[in-house]
Amino acid sequence: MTEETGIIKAVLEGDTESFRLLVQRYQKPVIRMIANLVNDRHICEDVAQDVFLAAYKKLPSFDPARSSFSTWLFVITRNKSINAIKKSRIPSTGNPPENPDFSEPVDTLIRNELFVKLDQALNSLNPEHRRALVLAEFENLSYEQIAQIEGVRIGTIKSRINRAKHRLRSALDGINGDFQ
Amino acid sequence: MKDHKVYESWKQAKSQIDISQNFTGRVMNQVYQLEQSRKSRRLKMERLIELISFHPLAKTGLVMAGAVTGIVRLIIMIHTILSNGVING
Repeated sequence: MTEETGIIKAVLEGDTESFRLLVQRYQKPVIRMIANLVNDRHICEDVAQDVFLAAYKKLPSFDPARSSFSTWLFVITRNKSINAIKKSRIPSTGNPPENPDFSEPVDTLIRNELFVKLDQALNSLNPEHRRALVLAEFENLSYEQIAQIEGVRIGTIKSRINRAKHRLRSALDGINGDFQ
Repeated sequence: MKDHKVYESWKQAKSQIDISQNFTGRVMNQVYQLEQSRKSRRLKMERLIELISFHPLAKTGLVMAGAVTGIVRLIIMIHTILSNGVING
């Protein structure tokens, strides 16, 4: 039995306090995923709170034979993020870029401008492509895990990520080099 | 500045997330509130069952309600069968 399975078992047996360990372990990846999927940064923690509460309620239905706890939790995060996007009805414009500080060196200014371009490209992605890219690039999940979370085949995930990367690459057009 | 360097530093910037210090505490408060409401719901149900099992009048009331429901369902069923029979026959 892994340590995590032990914690889950303890929670299911009535040790509510053990759930704190799961929250502490997963709060960062969950909030990061939400922040990169939902354009409104102010609601990230509220959505994350909903995710953990839903996880607590649904914990008896978690089956370790079907998926890992992290994958299961990311499925809840994905669904809550989609709901939050629908509810907030925020267009894919993202957070406004910070005002450039002209006292900064030119390199930093150029980099900030490129970051804004990349943010805009990320926000303009199809939600499915965006989710696949966020899970692969920011959460470092395997194609298999992403496919499980999205409920599609691995090939579909690979294609979504490639398309998303292509869009981001296009955003950086005009500068030499490429990224993989 | 190469694209891949820009991309990697952008990824790094996007990965840095600030979390409120009391985030875990807020989640746990909600979890405990949920547990509390579950417990009080369970208690109410237990009290209801207790009331029905130990109070003869409540027991009679429950049996009567069950019987009335059964009779009403029977009447509806007979009515449906008869009306279908009339239409078909």
